[in-house]
Amino acid sequence: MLFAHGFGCDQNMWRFVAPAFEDRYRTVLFDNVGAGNSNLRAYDYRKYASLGGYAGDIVEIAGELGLRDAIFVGHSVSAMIGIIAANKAPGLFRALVLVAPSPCYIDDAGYTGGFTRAQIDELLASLDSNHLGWSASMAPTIMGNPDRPELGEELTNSFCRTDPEIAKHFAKVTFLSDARGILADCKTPCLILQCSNDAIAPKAVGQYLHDKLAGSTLAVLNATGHCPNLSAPEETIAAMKDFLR
Amino acid sequence: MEPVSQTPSPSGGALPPETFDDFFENALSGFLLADSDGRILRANARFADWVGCAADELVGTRLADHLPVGDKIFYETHLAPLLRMQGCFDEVALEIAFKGGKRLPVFVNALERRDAAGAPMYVKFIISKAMDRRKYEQGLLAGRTAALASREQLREAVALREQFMAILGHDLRNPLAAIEGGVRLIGKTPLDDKAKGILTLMQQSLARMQSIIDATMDFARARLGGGIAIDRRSVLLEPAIRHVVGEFRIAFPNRVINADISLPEVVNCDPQRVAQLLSNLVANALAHGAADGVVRVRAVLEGSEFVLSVANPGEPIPPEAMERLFQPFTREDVRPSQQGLGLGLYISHEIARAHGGELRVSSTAEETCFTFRMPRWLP
Repeated sequence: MLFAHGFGCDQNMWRFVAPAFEDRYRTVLFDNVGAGNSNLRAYDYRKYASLGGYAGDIVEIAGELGLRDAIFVGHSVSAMIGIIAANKAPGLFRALVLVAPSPCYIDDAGYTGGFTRAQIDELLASLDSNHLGWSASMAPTIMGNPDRPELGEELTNSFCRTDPEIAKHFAKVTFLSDARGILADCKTPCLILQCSNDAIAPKAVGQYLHDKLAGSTLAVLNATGHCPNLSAPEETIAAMKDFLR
Repeated sequence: MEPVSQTPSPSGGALPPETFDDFFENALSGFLLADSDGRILRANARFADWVGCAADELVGTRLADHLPVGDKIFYETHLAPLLRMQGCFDEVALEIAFKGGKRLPVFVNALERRDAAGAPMYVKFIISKAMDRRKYEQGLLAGRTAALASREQLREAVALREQFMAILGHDLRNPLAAIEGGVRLIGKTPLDDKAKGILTLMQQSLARMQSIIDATMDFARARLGGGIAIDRRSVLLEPAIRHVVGEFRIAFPNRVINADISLPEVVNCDPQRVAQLLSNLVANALAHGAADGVVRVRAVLEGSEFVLSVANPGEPIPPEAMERLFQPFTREDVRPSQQGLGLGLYISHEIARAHGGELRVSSTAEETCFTFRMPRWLP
């Protein structure tokens, strides 16, 4: 069972869910390049300018570990990355669990993504203006201050660290992505875990995915927010076990 | 709520009791108490004031609802998970969206209260104004951006200039070769003495142009290509050194150049480059030292090193000039007779470096001495 975290997090986000599957599965967790404890210097802005770059990494990890007929569990944008990977490498996954997924965040004719173009532009503008909220909370060492060692001692928010420039780039790639076109090619059975009050992946999106992904299962959770694997782990685990039975 | 304290006031009467209720309500920071799902149970007057509504209208909403869209996305994708993973987050800079579109920069921290089993029960948010801090930070960021842009522009300008030099030098070689060829051919035709004299002067000028172009190309290659190119082999250096000294003795018949050369074993180096270095040093010594001074060239082996030095008496080099001596385009003083670019010592220094060695100078009232040292063998 391969767990892929989404934007803003790292593999720690699976800490309440992954252990529940360790008895039945070999669980594999990783940090995206550019997130968590990955080698930030390996972040290639050209490779990761599209979700395909990340999908390539999934296929590569699976190849390295000899995974076949595995279960892919992807959160948010990584759900789409998993679908791209499954389309690239048939036989790699026998099922995809999509946690709070969305193929496109911007509203379109006949499609509710949840955000207007203007709102996404506002998001990107606030990233560009180097809004300190992002850089302070996410930077591993924003200054590297050798003459003030006490500043480097205890990282306040020690999980889900990344480089602020990488965070900006990943945010752009994520929120401008449109993966609706690849859904028809997906032949792998999917479980869609939809939260009941998720500003980032609203219910209309879950329904849309259920309509477009042939043979998919839609489970609407009571959980609110965008990370049910953290805010409602038992409900998430139960829905997954139910699907995988 | 329980009164907290009851201390006598300075005027002698009892102070009104401080209560936690008053502490919560009337503070400069915004306080929010929320349930485990982040839904606000109670907001204080300060926060309600910022958002622009009554405190009880906030009950049931979430903190994220009062953030602009960028911060809302940041909250849901990063802060909310962080809160669940480590039970808190601290020192987060966000903006509160006022009614009417205005934004208030704030610092936020959040703390979960968990039950015995570790399940979250409540979340406490403390929100403090960060207007001044934000202005200060924006000033710093703007300064840094400007500095980086300026540095980038400078780097581009320098690279462009050096590329130009390389191209110029390269493109000048062809016409120069043509002129040299033509002069040679004319020299083979019958000429009177006056014409022969003119051709000789022309050839000297051409030779000087050639060496200026070579120096330019060396410089450009050193700057762009990361060092002067050298072609190493194991050679006995004595002939090359004697040749250089001989050339200068012919060119300057009125000057005395002493040569102390003892190189019985091979040195692994590029002999043409070593000759070029020696040539630069001797030319400098003749030009800058005392006009009648004796120039002393010494080339010996010392242990594992090859040592080449050129010394001359004369005015010592002033300390300010010493610092810049090996930098390109500095000339100790520009005299009308000097036609060079001011690259001689820079190129010599680069040649020394390319050989894994060093070029040093010492300058006293007695004499100025340039010493080149390098390991005899490849490491």
